[in-house]
Amino acid sequence: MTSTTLANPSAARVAQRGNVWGRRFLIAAAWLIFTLFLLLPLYVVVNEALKQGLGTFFTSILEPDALSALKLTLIAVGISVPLNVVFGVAAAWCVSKYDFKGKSLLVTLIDLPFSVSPVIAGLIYVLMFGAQGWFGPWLQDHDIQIVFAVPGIVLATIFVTVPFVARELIPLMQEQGTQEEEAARLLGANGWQMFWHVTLPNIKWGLIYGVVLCTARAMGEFGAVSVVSGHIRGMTNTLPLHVEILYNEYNHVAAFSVASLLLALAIFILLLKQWSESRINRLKASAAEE
Amino acid sequence: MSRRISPVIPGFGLTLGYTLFYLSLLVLIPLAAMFIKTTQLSWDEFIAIISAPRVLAALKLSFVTALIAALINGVIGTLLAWVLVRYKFPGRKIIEAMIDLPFALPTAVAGIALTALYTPTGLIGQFADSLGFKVAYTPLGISLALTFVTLPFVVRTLQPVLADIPREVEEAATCLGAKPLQVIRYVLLPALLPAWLTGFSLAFARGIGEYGSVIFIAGNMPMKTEILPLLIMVKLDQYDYAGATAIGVLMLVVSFILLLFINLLQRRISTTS
Amino acid sequence: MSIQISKVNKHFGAFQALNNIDLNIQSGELVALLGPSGCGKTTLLRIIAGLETPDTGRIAFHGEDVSNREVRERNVGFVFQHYALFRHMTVFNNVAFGLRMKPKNERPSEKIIAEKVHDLLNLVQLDWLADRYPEQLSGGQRQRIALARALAVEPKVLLLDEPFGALDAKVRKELRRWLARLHEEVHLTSVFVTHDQEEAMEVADRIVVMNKGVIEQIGAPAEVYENPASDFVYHFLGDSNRLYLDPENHILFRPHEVALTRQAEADYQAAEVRDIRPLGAITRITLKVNSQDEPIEAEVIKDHASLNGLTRGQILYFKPKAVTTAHQ
Repeated sequence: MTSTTLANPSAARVAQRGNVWGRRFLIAAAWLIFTLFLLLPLYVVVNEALKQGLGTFFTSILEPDALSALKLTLIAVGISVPLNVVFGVAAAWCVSKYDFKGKSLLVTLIDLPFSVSPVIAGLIYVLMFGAQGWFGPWLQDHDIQIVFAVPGIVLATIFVTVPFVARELIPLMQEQGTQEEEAARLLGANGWQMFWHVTLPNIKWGLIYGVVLCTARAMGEFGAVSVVSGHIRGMTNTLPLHVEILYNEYNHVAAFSVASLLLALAIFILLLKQWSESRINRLKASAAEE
Repeated sequence: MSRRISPVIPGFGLTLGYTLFYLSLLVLIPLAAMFIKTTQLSWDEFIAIISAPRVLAALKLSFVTALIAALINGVIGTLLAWVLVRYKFPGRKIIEAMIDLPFALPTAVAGIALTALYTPTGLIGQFADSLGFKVAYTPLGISLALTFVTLPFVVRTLQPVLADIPREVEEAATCLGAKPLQVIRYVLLPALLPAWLTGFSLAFARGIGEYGSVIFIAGNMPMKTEILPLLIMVKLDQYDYAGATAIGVLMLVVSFILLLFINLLQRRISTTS
Repeated sequence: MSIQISKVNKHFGAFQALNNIDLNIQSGELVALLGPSGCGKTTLLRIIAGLETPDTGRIAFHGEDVSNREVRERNVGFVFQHYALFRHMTVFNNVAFGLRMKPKNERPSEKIIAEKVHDLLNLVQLDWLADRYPEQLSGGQRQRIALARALAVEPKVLLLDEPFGALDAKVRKELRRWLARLHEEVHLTSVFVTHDQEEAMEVADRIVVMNKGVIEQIGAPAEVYENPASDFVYHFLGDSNRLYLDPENHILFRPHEVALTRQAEADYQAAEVRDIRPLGAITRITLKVNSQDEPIEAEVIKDHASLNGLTRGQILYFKPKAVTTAHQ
């Protein structure tokens, strides 16, 4: 075989045909993995939820304990997401617009909660505010309950979602640079006008993307919240904890009904994410063009 | 350039101050509190807690199942990333969007869904059962649950790198006489390896700490299917704060060493290639 | 509005970007800051604008010290190299931005803003693009919109950073002639930064040649070209030949300042023809002199007598017509 040079058109065609089969095989494998690992679990959730009909499904998600769990989840999301948005914008601002010593250390610290187990995230607040904790006696004297109550759940949720917004904004703002801000200042804008009219519209989609990811995690956090919640039904249960309780009581249909509610929210979040991502890619493309 | 601050972009002091304040209050001080709490134990007491057979068994289980999950993801994640970047095919957009499902789906939901899927009466579990092996309530089940929750890491870190490798590079290699396997070995792998390691280590670290998706499928038998994060919960339920804290410190140290090791490996690879 | 720059120094870490800069710019003048990249010209422009603070020294507008004045109160128009148009705003809103940012009591009504924006867009001949977004414009169009935006706030000084740097050769030529004409019309004190000596010569009233953070020479284009103050200026302003008289001394002359003949004559030096390149109206000949490795280039009109039947390897005799400097 001396005719393996690619100048030989038939050899090239053979290689091409080999590619087609390899390609078909890989695509089929991707579909198989996708079905086995991602689609089937979804199917199971919906299937189990509807096992006893739509009536049972609605009873399960509308019973008072489920609704109060929903309410607590919304409170945790409603407090942690805005706080992390403000933090994320501030952190991204100082990291992307200035150079200073220790910047990479700061970025590492911002990412730190990602590499800490959620159980530890809960544990540290118990150690701070629990009865045996640093502030425990003081809190007890003043009759303030943090751990095994709503504030603890909110704190744990904030901890696990700290990096999301900052992480999305930092690369975007670094790519965009500071020239538009400088131009705005030269044209007479004050600091607030510059931020509001120039910076914010430019990072809008990155911000939405970060909020979406942050919301998803805040809504679904389980381990950290589980440690600090105390599992009091109707009081300190979030939706994921409610799912756990129902499941452990062998009330599978109810557990999967509430789970499918969370699943629907997750799918909605994925759609939002996809949409904001496409807008960011457009922004990045226009930034790269300049 | 040590400290370059533009005089016209305001807010450096304010934003840096707020960032440090927020991080200290919510992350750094509480984490420090855990380390300070452990200093209340003597060294011997600390060693006694973390070398208890139950702790060591849990550590080994968490480590091995997370490693297996990360390795599985290293293979199927690479495959998915490759297919999504390189090929256009029906359903590509759906797969692309759904890859992030494990990040969006609450872990508890993933946990009960996977358990239902893999119990001996479940959709997949019954096949396994007829072949004579169990998935749910075994380390295999734990690995599968971890594979699910960490699936996006390898895919998402590889995708942008793959997209950035121009096809011309492969074509150039082919024109220089390289066979397909040689193109993969000498052209693609070196370019992908750093990102692959990043994805792998993220999945590994997340797997060691993961709780929600695992506890349903694990069975939680001490010495057999009890993961390390669960052991912290057990200690807390017994009001054994010292024990929980010691295990927490152990976990943090293990994942820190792990990340450090992979970081060094990555540096080594990027300097040799 | 005249600009006085005195004793300005600027460091970035250990790097000295500007070293004791003194410069006076007259009212209504169009001045080019010319130099290679890293010479400090952009830093100087940004210091004039107030985008950087000098370590020491002062900037005065019309004798009034503005060193401590905030950028938004300096009233300068600035055109960035990559334009820095607000990508999420239409062309109209970009140009209107400066007017809308004025404090309430000074802010014109939307009707007056609209009139003013359209006047400016007409001035830059792009009124028909008012509703487009920056990403839909060509480089040359973006450049002119950036200029219109800078002019909207009626600045007393116009500063341009490499205004033609990102454009292709043809658009660049058109635009720089247009800028020179525009300057004739509005007569605004203007400073622009460039690394292209042809651009500086064609557009500017005066050229400030900079190198390594210091000013090498200030003068009208003809002056810096004919009487360069240093070897650096000589080299930077055009092609040059170096002919060594002995190891210590050399003379500099430009390729078009060479006399050629086929026969040996007094004062002429023999050289071997290495290359002959017809470049349209002129022809360039590369010559090799025995005494040095560095070749000599000569440019003569294409029907020059000495070119008749000339081939490589032949001997030609040359003489520098105008020796400009003899430094060492």
